[in-house]
Amino acid sequence: MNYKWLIRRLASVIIAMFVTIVISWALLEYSPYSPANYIMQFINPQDFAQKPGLYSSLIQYLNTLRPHGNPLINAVNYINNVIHGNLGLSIVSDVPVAQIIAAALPWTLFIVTTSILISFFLGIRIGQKLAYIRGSKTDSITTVSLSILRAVPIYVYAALLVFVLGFVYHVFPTGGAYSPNVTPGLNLAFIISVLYHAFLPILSLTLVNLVGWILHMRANTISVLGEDFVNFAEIAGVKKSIIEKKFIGKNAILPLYTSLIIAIGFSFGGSLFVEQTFSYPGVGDLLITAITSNDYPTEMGVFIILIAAVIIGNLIADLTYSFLDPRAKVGEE
Amino acid sequence: MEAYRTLLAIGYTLLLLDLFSIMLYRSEAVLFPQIIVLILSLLIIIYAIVQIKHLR
Repeated sequence: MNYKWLIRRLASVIIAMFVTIVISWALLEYSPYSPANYIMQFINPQDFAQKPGLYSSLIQYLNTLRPHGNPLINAVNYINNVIHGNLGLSIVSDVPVAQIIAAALPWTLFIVTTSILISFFLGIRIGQKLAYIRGSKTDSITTVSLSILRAVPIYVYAALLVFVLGFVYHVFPTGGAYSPNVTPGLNLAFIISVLYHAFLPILSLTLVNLVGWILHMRANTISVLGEDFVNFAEIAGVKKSIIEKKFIGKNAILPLYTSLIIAIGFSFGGSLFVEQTFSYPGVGDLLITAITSNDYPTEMGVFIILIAAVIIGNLIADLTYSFLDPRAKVGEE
Repeated sequence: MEAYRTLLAIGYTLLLLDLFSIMLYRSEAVLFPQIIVLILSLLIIIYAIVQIKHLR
């Protein structure tokens, strides 16, 4: 183990986390839209005519939600709380933010992970097949159609699917994560209900990702097809199926793994629209509700948890990688 | 090589988020998605580790 590299890597993780927390805190804390403004719009002073004391104490409380005091001390307090796992209370629901996010996270992870994996494996198979028939009529029509579909935003897919399959034909439910008539738990009725409700959100995310994977894999396969080692294997009489799988497929797929991390980020962003369209109780839906109600602690909590997971996930991957393959000698110069 | 490292990072990121959820929110309602994500993220990690070992 290269300890110098490890210390440098840990320091970069701490700095990245610190910068993330400070920037997210400063951006939201000093935004012109205070959560107090959101709550104030639902308060009518005339309703408090009988209890003027209650009204003034409410206003006093709401004013504490606006930025006040020394910003440096506020920032230090916030960072200290985050380090101790305290992300604060949601201004709207008065529940710990970490708990709200933990309740919403499984639904988003479920639809994002499933759709990414389905679209990835389908995309590489279809893309590879298209590359082998490159220049044919089928290839030309499919590639042009896919290029057009690539430009369609995710919320259009989601809106079309919910309208056609949900409202017009009533094939799939139009909202929620499971039916209220089933008992939550690891029973068949609940699992079927969860899969049934997740079908359209997963399909929307899969469709938008699938097109990208097909085009990407097709282009990669075509570039690998022209490599010398493929020609040499053909001349040497290696079986066509082995050339396609081991020589071409394995090499063409490598750059796609790197794109996978971008696709996951894209899907998390896309889940905002999908969850809003399908009323799916995930992080995207939670974030939109938090943004519209200026619920800063929830917004900051979502950003911090997602960013922390990516940063720590990368750190563990680097450590595992250098442990598994010492040849890599990560960080050594 | 970098490709499998990225895959490993994705697996760990998903696993960390799922573990965060499992530790802080235990409910019958979210148990199924939590288990599915746990299985998928572990599969991604195992696949990446096998491929990295195979490269050696």
